[in-house]
Amino acid sequence: MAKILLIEDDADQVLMYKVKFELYGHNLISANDGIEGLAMAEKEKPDIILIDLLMDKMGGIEVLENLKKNSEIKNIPAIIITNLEKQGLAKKVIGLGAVDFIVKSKISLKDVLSRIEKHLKK
Amino acid sequence: MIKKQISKTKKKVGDPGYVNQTCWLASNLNYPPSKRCQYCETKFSNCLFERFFITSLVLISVVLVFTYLMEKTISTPIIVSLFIIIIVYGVFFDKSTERIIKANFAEKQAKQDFKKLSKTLQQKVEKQTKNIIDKNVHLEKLLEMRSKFLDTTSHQLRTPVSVMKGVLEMINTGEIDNIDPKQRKILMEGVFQKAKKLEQIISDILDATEIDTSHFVLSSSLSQDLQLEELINNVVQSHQLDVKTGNITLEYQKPKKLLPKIKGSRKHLEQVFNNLLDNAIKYTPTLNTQTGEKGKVSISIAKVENSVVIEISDNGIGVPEKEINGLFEKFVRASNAKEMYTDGTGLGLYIVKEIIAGHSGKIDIESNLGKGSTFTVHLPIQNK
Repeated sequence: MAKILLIEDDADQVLMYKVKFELYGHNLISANDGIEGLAMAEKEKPDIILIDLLMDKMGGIEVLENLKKNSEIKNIPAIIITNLEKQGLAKKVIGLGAVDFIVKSKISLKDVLSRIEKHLKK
Repeated sequence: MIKKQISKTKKKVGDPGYVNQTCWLASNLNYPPSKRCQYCETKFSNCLFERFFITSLVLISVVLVFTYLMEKTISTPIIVSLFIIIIVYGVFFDKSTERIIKANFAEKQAKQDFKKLSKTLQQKVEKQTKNIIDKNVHLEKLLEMRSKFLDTTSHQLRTPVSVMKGVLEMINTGEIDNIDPKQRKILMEGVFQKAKKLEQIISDILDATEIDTSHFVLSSSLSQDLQLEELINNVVQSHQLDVKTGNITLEYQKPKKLLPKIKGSRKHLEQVFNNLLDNAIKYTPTLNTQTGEKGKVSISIAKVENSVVIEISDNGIGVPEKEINGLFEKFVRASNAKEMYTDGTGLGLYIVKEIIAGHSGKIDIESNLGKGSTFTVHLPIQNK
């Protein structure tokens, strides 16, 4: 059982991932924006962090950059999970230290879960 | 044959660079063309210097012979000859000089005209170049906006799809039955809202595309006699739930007297006021932190001259001053609106503007950043 932090501003998506992950024995905690997400990451020390890209207040790229600057949480694997698909974006976020890049609408919930579990095992 | 060739190569009167070899000025003083008598390059028989020379010679000879025969002395003919030379010089040579000056002046004038023409041409070329550069900048801006629009729109189209797909996947696998009924209900409501959102985005894109291809014009098939205060009342009523959710107040100031009807498309005008009211409610927080006022949206309608004027005011986030002018352009969203809500196609106000223009009306905006905005719609009353 893993503690997963989801930084996502869409409540429907948060609930969907929450019920799905909990059915498979994981604990999902969530933050509504980047600032709250970074604070929660520091406080909760999750096993993995899922970060959305387009958010109010602080976008996903900035969250990732701040995460990697913070010595306390920089080693927690971070996955960018978004519906934004642009040429070179995946490469950019991997370069910034993310372990994976997922386009939500393109893969099933089951596959999202397997990708997360794959990184948890590492 | 050779003669023909010589005559071909020899410059004739009127040819550019022709020099009258009999002209004393041209041949002996090697005057440059600009200083020559204009006749030197035109008609040999009209060479003024030659005229002066021959006339003087003839007159002097006649006078010399005549006075010598009369007076039998040489001094008087010489004095008379000198007078004749001065008179002939004055009559002919001065005229020749004047013509030389005129020729020089004409040349200078031509040079000045040419310079002026060059300058005008250069200015025209510079203006055209600037226009092309401006158009390119505008095009680049449009392409950039289009690219941003495609990024954000594809994101917005995919977001509801990903939720719908995810929930359907859980229904398909039977997992949905294993979750808490309360959560299931919220999830289903979420899917429904996402489907509505998706429909709205698609509808905005289709409307904007339709307006792009054929600007909205109020056709006779669309035109109806409309009592606008009723139409707006319906729009206001449909937003009561949003106002309650946002914890703000919505005030509709109805006119005391019945307003004249206007010709318009009910469907499109409902779209206009729905959109304007949606925006006002969406960008008006419960509490305005800058002014300390409680969130409030008001809508009023009145007859002003030959128009029905509808004002939609709010005390919300407002629009940055330099962004006001471009707000009705396609794909444009105010920067503070983007910060507040990441979703939005930037097509809503463009569609609003085009529909109002199709009704021969106009829309204005007044806004103070952090204090609120007022959108004013003018729709003409048709004279029957």
